Amino acid sequence: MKKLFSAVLVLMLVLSLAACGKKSETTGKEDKKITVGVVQTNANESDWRTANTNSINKAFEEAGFETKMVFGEGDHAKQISQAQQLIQEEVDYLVVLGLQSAGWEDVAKAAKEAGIPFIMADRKLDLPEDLYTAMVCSDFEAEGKKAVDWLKKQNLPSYKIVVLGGDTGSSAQLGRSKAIEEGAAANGWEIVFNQNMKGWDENLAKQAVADLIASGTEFNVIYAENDNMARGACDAMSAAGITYGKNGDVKVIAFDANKWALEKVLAGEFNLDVECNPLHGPRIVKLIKQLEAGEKIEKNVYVEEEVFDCDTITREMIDARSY
Amino acid sequence: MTKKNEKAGNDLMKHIKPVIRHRLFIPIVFLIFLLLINIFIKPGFLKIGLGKDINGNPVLIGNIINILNNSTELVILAIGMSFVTACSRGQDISVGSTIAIVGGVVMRVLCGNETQPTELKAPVIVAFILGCLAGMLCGAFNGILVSRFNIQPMVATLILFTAGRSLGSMAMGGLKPKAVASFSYYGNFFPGFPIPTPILITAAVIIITCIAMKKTNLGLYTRAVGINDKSSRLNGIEPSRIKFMSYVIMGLCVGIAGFIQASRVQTVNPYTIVPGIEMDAILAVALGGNSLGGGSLNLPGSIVGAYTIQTLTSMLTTLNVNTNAIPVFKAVIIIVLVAIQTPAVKRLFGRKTQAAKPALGGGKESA
Repeated sequence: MKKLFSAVLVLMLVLSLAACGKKSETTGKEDKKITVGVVQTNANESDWRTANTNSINKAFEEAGFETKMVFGEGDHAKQISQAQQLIQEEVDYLVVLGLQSAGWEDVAKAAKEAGIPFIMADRKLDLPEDLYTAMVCSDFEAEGKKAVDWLKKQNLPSYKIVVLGGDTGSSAQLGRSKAIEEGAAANGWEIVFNQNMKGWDENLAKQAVADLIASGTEFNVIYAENDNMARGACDAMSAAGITYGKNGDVKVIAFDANKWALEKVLAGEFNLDVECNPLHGPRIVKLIKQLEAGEKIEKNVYVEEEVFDCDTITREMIDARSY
Repeated sequence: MTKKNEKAGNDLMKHIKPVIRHRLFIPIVFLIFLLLINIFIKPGFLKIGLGKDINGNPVLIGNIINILNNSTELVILAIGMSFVTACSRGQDISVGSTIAIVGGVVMRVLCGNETQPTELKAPVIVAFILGCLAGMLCGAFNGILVSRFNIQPMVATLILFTAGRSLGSMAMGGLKPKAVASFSYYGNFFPGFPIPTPILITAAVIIITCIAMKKTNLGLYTRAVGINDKSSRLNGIEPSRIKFMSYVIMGLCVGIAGFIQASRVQTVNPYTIVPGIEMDAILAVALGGNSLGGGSLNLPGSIVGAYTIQTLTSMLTTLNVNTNAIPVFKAVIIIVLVAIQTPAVKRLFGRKTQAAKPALGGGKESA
């Protein structure tokens, strides 16, 4: 019996090896395969980034592209040299998810001279229109404005807002902070606290909110620029006996809309979560296919993003999401 | 009348002089100075109230409690960093990254391969011990590089500084799990007990360190190696062993700090956990009056330094200082703190309080 079992195993192994060999042969025969160079930020800096990386890899694999993905690991200069390296390797398309929005002119020019279409994703880079081909970007200011609109509709008797910002200078922080600052100025709301947390860190947000509570600062809105900081703020409020969320005293607004955060929206712990869509893969594939077919594409289209309100969210909406 | 006053003044000076010349004088004065600024701006700053959390458990709420609570990691790291600085004449810049590794190990042990586990996969004590072991292993790695291969501490620890956060992510299997609420007791409150657990852990660590300093020759040996390798070898102390040990102690401190940090929010993001804490820990050591060139070991100073930094951080939050101004604000205060402890300023200070008595050497300080 044992012998038979091992014989079957060996046979399976041989067959699978053979299958592998065959596959690589066929790919070898396809000489014209589209190579896409991707300059990513970090592999796993957040749940959002993981979903983002996976989406790109998966979509490219399904489309039959060859992917060359490199990671800047938090280093802006490294990203630029990586991008230039990819241009020298003569990839067919260059996709850049920049850590910072500035300083990409030389790369874009080099790509243009080499005839490589330059697609920017995630953050919009500071480039003149003629230097890039297309973009798959989130409009962070528009995200913030969605939250501001929602806040306006709540008709609170007074607005005392705590703004927990992300990493100083990242475009997500700049856009989202700008939206709430302008919204508050336009509507006469009071921002009682506005600081950026290093690394979008959950624990720093928690400590900041705990300090505010201890020093007697009154607030009734938490505007946290990502899901984790919102969770940290909720922890601090729980520890001090302050109620929050759907039936609480403090309204909690979060950004990014990770799946676990939507569970919190459904549970009524967060009032609102504004999506920041990480599923760039299929969009980039679509763009590249259009470019390959010689179709005209629109340059400045932002990714569509939703908001999730604790009053309207349903279980189906959460289950339908992949990240 | 005037004579009596003068005499009383002299008597007073006799009592004040040793206080002023005490090596903890300046760090403590600064801590008090910061607290006074806070009280001046927010009169309720020192108030501690007994509140209830959302489940009805009693909890202490107050700025002082927050400072004591949130400085835990920094205090523990400052103790380890003092040993490393004193004997190896350099700093361990990998502590933040090593905390990411420890946090990764702790989360992996507690959560396994699930992102939202409904129970702890292992007893917390196992996670704690494995976390400490991971920290000590990293410390041992740094220690070997420094003590056996004589690599400069900052260069040796640069390796883990660079790789640590990625290693932490690997330890977690690339997942971002969130452990169940019962793991939060160690970084927050035990239900029904109003004092935050980290404060108790800090107290325990400080007491254990005190006992170790009193009962063993660790402090003496550490300083001896820091002052002069060769002469301590001639006196029968093996410098490389002491250096190695100091890095392992640092690793243990990192292990404890990482465990608490993981427990605070029951999740770990290796790429962003404790951003920049290595610099704060080094700063705490410097504020405590230790020479960063080694040879002095002033543990109480480092601890007071750590509390000073946390007070400053907390102050910047409660005062809602503009984000862009925070680094400048911090830098100005730190420059003042460090400058006042330099020999040049001390001499000026000394001439006023005590006429031309030679200042005590930094190397003679004891813990």
